Amino acid sequence: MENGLEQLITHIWMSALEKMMKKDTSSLRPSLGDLIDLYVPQVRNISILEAKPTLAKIIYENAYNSSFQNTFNIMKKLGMPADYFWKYEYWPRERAFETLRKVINRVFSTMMNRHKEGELDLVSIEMEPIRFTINFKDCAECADIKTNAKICFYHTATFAGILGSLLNRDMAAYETSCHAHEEEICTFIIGKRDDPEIQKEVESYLNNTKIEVNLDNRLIRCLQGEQNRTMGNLVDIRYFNLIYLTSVLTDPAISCQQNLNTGTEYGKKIAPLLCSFYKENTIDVLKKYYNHLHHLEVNSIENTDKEINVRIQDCADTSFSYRQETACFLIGELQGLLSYFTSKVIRYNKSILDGNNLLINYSLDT
Amino acid sequence: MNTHRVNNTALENKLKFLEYMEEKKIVILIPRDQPDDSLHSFLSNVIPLATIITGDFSETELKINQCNPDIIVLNPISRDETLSESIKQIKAISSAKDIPLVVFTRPEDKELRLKALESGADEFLMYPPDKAEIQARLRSLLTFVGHKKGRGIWNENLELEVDKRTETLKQALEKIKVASLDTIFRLSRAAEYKDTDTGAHIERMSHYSTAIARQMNLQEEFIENILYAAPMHDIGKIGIPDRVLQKPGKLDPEEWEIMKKHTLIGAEILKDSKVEFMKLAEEIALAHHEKWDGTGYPRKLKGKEIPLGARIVALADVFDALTSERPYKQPMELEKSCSIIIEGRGTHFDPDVVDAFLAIKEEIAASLNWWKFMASDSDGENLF
Repeated sequence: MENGLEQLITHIWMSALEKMMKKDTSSLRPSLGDLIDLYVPQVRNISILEAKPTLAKIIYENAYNSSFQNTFNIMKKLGMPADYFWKYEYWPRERAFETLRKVINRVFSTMMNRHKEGELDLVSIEMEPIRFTINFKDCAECADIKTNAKICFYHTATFAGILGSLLNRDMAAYETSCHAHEEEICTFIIGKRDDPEIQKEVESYLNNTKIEVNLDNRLIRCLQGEQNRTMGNLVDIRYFNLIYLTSVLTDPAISCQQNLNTGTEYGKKIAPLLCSFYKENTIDVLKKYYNHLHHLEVNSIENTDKEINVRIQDCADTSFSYRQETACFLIGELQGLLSYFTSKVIRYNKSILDGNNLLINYSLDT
Repeated sequence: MNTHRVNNTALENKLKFLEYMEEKKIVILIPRDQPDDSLHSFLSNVIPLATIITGDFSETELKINQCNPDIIVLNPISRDETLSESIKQIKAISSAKDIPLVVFTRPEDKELRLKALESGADEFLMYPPDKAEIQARLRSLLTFVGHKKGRGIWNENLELEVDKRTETLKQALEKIKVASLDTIFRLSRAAEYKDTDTGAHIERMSHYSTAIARQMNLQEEFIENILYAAPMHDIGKIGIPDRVLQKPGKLDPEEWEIMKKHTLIGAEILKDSKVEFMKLAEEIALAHHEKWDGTGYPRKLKGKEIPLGARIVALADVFDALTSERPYKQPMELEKSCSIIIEGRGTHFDPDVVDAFLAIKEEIAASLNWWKFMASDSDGENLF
């Protein structure tokens, strides 16, 4: 997978570490800051999962590998000795729990708190066979979502990757309770990847991914500003970029096209809802919507007979690097919304990043 | 009635034989250049369910691997000089070398049979073929194969069981070892508490010691042992009177002599163990205050007379003491601590150990932060 996205993911993890260590206090986006409404990553994740349920396995594998590798990078940077968790499975249970909990709480819980990603807590350890239980309160992946399945695939794999990397073992995880599944908090069980019981549970978890979510209601609640987490409705754009990139990492070109299509359908679908909410039917609705979610600022929309140019700034999707893969869902979503407001068939042509401005060019089909 | 019963018995025997044969796999090889249709059909009748392979020997290996037979029957009855070669070719196939090879010959071909035996044939069937004899001989061979296979499976199972138990035992031993590491840390810490409040000192210097040992490309077993042994380097302090150990000021010569005895006491506590890391711990406890130039104590050993483990721990111990905060001193900066270590290269410390330490200076610097980070009482939000 030599497509540069892995390096981008590592860069984002390191940026998260810098932010946690307060070495980098500057904001990634000059006017909107580092926070975005958690509805944005949620709708991305869920829309593409609804369109392609098998993506759960891809998200799981990519999130695991990314967190495994980047946990290693982080711990090296923090100076944890290579032998720190040496032969962990043979440690006395009490020492194993105390030490690992201290490391998890001090590093990863802190990082996730700063991102407003959720409250991570290692709650129990069993040593024979090895089992960790993690509770994750206010989970950004599923807050205020109601569905028929447990859907926090990204966090499940991320926690397995973190523990795997710390202990230098190949681990796997599954979710036993999920806020989206009418349970209070998300709970994850993590064990060794070659443990048959874990394998069976993970297999079952990753195969039950056909989800149905009423995103319309979720959008309205989001626009109405209903508070749905103790942590509030905003989440760091580092998390937003990480969760999105893990879904496109395996096959960026194909994912890009699929996400552009999914985004277009989504844009068309929400347009009437937005008009109804803002009580107007003009293209200005777009500006209000994106600003409302702290997603981006639409500077201008130039509309001619042949093309539409949208100029935006502080775009969360391109806050680390501009690549088509990072913005394709947004480009599709804009295409769907513009089609609705212009009542014309619109096709995406190209996009250019000019400083902090992203210029997206669409052509009108006559 | 009787005739009917006889017929039934014959049928039952045939069915029994078929049932018996169903579990066995017999491969009959008939080279393409010597086709014999009548024998082919006869054999199909006599040895039902056998796999008959007609073809070149070049194809035999693949086919034998596919069939995984219990017996290979080689046809034709041949006076051909190539028979020995054919047998050798079959026996050269690794998956076929332990499978009985049966060859059809004529009664008068005594010389050919001898050659065939020398080449690796295991049994002969006479031509013209006799159905009852063929079935009886095959049955007998299959029984033999069955026993052999059974023994093989039993051996395999036994090996698996032994492997499983060895693994369980290994795990149990590991568990005991790692649990002892925990105990060692705790007991050694008890000795440390008697001296200063440096509870984490032994943990830190153990990790410095293993990092140096790893950089020196020492054997993994030694690296593991030093991780266990290093914490016990000052265990002898437990035998030093508090008036000396906890004296706030400088020790007088008599007190200093008492203090030096912690090396001997430590070695005495740890001596005569049969456990490898305990033996190393004894060496370290006794010699970690020896100096490369022979001016150390208790035995004034010089250079490589000082055991390697003690030479490594000596540096790790001093470095951690320099960089740690004590009630009477602030922690020394990394660079200053390193320059003191460098000054001691070839006098206090083994030059090779100093070089290995300097090669991992960055790793050591990072881990200094780690220990501070883990020792802090603040919660995560205020740590950085």
